[in-house]
Amino acid sequence: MNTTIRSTTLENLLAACDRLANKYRTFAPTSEDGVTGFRPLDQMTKEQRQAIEETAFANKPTVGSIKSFFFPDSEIYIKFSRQGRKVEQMELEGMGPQIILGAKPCDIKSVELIDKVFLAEPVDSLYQDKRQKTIVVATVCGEVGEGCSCREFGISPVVAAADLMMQKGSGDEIILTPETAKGEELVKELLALGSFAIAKPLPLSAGDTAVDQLSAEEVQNRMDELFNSPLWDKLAMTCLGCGTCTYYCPTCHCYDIRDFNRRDQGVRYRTWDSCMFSNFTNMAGGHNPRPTRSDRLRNRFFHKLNYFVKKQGELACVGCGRCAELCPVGISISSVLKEIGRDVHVS
Amino acid sequence: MRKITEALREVATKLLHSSEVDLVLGYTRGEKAKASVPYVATTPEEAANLCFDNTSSKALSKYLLQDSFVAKKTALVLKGCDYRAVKMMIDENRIERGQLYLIGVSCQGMENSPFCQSCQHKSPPAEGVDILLSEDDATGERIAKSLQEAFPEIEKIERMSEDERFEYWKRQFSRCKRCYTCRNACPVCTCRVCMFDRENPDYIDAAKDQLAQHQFYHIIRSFHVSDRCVGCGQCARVCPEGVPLHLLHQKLQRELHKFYGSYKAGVDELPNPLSHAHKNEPDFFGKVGR
Repeated sequence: MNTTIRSTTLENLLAACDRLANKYRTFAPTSEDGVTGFRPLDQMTKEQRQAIEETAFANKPTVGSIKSFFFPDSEIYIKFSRQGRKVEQMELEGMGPQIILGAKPCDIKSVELIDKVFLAEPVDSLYQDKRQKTIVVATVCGEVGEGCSCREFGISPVVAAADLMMQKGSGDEIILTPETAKGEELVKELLALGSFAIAKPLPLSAGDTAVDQLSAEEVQNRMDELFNSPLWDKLAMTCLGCGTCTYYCPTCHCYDIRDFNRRDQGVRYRTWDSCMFSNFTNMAGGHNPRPTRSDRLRNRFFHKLNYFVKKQGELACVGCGRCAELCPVGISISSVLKEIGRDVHVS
Repeated sequence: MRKITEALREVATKLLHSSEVDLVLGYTRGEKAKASVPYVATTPEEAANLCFDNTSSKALSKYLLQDSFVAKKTALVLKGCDYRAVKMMIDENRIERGQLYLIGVSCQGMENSPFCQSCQHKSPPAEGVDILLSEDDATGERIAKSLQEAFPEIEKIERMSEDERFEYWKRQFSRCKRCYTCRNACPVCTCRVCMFDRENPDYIDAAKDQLAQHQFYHIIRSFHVSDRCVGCGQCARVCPEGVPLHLLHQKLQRELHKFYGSYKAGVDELPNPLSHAHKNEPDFFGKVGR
């Protein structure tokens, strides 16, 4: 049975998270030097803490996506040390449970998409561990934000499949409704703190995802026809070859594995990589199967709009609009969808 | 900027129509209504898409080093800062002047740019370009601010204690993901192979959670471009995390001026102060061995 609870204010909820700090580390969206992103509650300034409410309930995702909670930009596989001729592997400190407060529907969908990659056999245990230990609390958008096109990708801005739904009640009230067992457990722990009351669940909007939704199959087929199109050379002429689109894309999930050693200690770690970088596909010996920016750009869009559909049955884009917002030269998913005959850009 | 846009389209149409150039590199209205983006026109019809306004902030000159431009006769739209970058690349034999048709535009400065507010080289010199387009009803250059006035943050940071200053930059660099957008957008960061793109170098690590590595990257890059900086402000403008990189370059430039005298990249002749050694130069590491 789902128990909905009410918090008098968001600060009341944050204070409760502070009290649960021994068990969970809480992260929430805020603003630092004018840039929105998730920060740990225990490291926020007073101003940043006050900015959570506005950022979490805005009709817009944060600059950085929530993928980094499950797939951090750098992550250690093994630690090792050497003594004489003996190499020893050291124990890794695992991550404790965490709460993400205020994830947006587009970002939640993006994690479901990369689940298909990391949680398929062979399961990526580092990713799975974080996925299991994380409680995702969603704040939906009131309406489609400026520059957003979630609906075209079958995502309703007002619906999210998270562990908990966080909604605004009357006045400053915050209503929390669990949607999974993990969410229910957190609600019980919050209730036990004594600063919450049981409440009636707020009606959830059914959403209207049918509007203008792109057909994954249609897009995939159209992309097949575009493989040899001059479009890629044209876009590549102004592409800077930087990693902004990939690092800020919530569904991009490529990484590189590297070693780092100093004297007798070292680590093997993975770190985000970008298919837009020339050394992404560079082989030992110097051969590069994607030698030009045009090849690399085409690969990125094919991964989103064609390869992922073929392998996983869905488009690997959630319409969050980050590529359009952040690319310094204005290349985005809609640059390609326009060519397909669909302009999904709303602003 | 309507006059410049109109004149630009006319010039571009003529150049492409007569096949005097293969392509015209300029700006067009972006998908986001608020800014114009780089654009390549290859036909007289496409020339009608070109525009120039106070959001045409991207530096275009570095594209000339890309394979897709190398063998082409290219016309490009140049603001004052971008012209300085082109001049440097010509002087350094990276590009050939004969392959280029330079369309200078008299720039009135970009929106919200401290560099533009203090810029003394808004337009390329008429003798440096093939044609210079300006607004004939232009009311003259906007009143320029001094460097001090344009970058009030620098004094603020200088006044901080060492610890505060370290904390300030720590906070800024902690957000860095090393997407290299600052480097790739910089018109004077033109090494053939960037030291940060080498395979597994010993001097830097790719880990993105290592603050020291971000600091290393930004400080090295800042040193590499400090005497070459043409003040386009792109580094900070393109940073998705809002790291004020321009302050670092601007501060280093001021320090360089103190030790080597005034040098303006792409205005003064080569060599730039950090690319050559002179026996009378200050030696911070001590002349008599270690």
